[in-house]
Amino acid sequence: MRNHASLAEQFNLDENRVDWHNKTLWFVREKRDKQSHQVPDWEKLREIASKIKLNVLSNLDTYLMEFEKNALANGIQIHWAKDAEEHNEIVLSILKDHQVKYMVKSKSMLTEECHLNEYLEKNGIEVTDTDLGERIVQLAKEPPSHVVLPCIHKKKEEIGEIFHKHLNAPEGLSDPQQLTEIARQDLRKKFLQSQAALTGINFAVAETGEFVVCTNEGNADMGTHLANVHIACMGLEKIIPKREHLGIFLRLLARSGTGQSITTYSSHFRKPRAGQDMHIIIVDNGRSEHLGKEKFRNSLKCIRCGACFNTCPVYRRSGGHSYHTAVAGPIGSILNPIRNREDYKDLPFASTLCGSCTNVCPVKIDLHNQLYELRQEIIASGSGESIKGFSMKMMARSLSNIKKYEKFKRTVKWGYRYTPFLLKNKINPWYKHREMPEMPKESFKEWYQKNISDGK
Amino acid sequence: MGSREDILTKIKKAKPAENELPTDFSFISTAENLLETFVAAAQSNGSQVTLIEDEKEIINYITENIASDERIIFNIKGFEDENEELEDQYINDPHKLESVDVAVIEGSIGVAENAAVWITENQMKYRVLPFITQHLFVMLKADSIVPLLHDAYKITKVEDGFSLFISGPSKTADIEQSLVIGAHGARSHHLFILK
Ligand code: SF4
Repeated sequence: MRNHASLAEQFNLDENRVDWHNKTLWFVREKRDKQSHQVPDWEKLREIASKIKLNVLSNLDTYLMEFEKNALANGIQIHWAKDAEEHNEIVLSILKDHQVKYMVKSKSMLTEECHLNEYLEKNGIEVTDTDLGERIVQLAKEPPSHVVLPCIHKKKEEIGEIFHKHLNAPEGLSDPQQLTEIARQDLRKKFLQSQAALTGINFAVAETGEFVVCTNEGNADMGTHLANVHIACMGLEKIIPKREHLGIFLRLLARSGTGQSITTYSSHFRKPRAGQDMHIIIVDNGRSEHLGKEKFRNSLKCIRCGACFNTCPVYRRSGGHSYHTAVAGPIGSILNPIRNREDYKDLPFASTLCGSCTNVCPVKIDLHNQLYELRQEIIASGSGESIKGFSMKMMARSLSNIKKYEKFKRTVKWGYRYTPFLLKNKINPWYKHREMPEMPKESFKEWYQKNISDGK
Repeated sequence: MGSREDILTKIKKAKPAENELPTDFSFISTAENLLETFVAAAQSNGSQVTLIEDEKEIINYITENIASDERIIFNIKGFEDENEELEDQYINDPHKLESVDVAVIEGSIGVAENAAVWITENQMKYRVLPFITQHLFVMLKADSIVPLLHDAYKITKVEDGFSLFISGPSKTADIEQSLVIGAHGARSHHLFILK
């Protein structure tokens, strides 16, 4: 069965890698802390960002229509896709209209969600990912493992090998500077050849009909300003009401994600270039249904900064691929099971519920509460994991009745002392990757009765 | 149009009751001196900064530091003569810019907190220019530096087809989080601040 626990177990086979992965991401988390502490009213920024996004959710349809009207007036063509399939078909039909055989793409988690690359390749179109990290995983035939740092799971020696195999790099090269230069040269050719460019959208502004794309590498811009066709894809929650709101979100996005004060390029596209065709595809793919789920709608505020990934102790030690989905980490563990309960019911359990994700989220999504709620729903619907589920039920029964609990406690205590191997074994899911605590000689209750209740 | 109606109807049914839009966008700036804060931020973004008294100093800098056979596009008003592309006023095909080594353009607003500079389509002339050039020179007037990003958005105009904030040279940290300057866009970013 493909679930988080078993995939994480594979990742955990290489202890050094787990250690390194953990430390690399923590390093990014620390950069985020430093940046956010330099902004005196950081909490106010988060509060306002959260409120703007809540307002967006209350007016999503009207803002989308306003955006559409303004973008059309600017000469951009607008398409609506109810699901991944329709999104992919629209992209293909635009490319066919222009007889495009070759397209460059800048990072877009939405197209990962829709599995666009495979679809286009099946239909005879060559797609090149141009964000360095995405390019690396594309050459390695793997999905990205992080929304902002797509190849964070790969070591530089492995990247050197991939470049040796695919880009004629000399054998044994592992210097990041030299590897990046090789990718730059190779991708420059692709930018210059390509007839179409596809980008994601970080923010779409209803008031002006423009959209903003943020990158550090400049790959989105290299693609779109050279190609005759620009296709931009957005999840429908990416809309914000006014241009002045960009000030809030751009201050939060890079600081939260990578610990920079702003990305190198924040590009505002309002009109196609003379002679260029510009298209926007607005994608639902389960989002409108999600909006109707009161307890979970808050998670639609997400701006995909990646901060909750970097801070999550489970993500850092299990790797992005263990989430078997495009958007991993704490936010992915909410978005995916909401869309597809059956395939992703394991993900809400891939959390310690420590609340660290909630603390760093720039738009104040109560991630750990939602994960907790989702667990309740999954267990109540009887589709939790069988082993933990069974023991949970036993626990629930004994904890709900004082007499039964006392008896349960005595049994467990006796057993723990004299037959520890029964608990400290691989069948007990709590024992995996954890030391079981030593049993105290007396319980709190026994201590209390001896020391406090008789007036000492 | 089927999906459009479908999606909008579904949203209408699902959306929550009204949440008010906040209106207080006043934020604290810690910058005591805007120019100093800007310069420090630019340097930490990996940019070079030179303070100048006169636009001509940029031309001097280029003659002294850039080899004469390098292709330069000089897009600062009043200095068209310095532009080797003068006779080629209309480059219709952006691919022709592939061999540009240095582009000099003017920015309109600088943001002290992060050294981002707002550059409009008019100022760059060709959208791809600031990215495709190997080295980017940006001239900015010192008195157009504002404290925070919010202040910049209050004065940006929206009529341009494409505009952007640039805050430094193209960079990536995708390989083991080691910072590498020069990914796909300009390899170096040089700011000339006109006092
Ligand atoms: S949930 Fe919050 S922290 Fe996580 S990616 Fe989204 S915006 Fe960032």
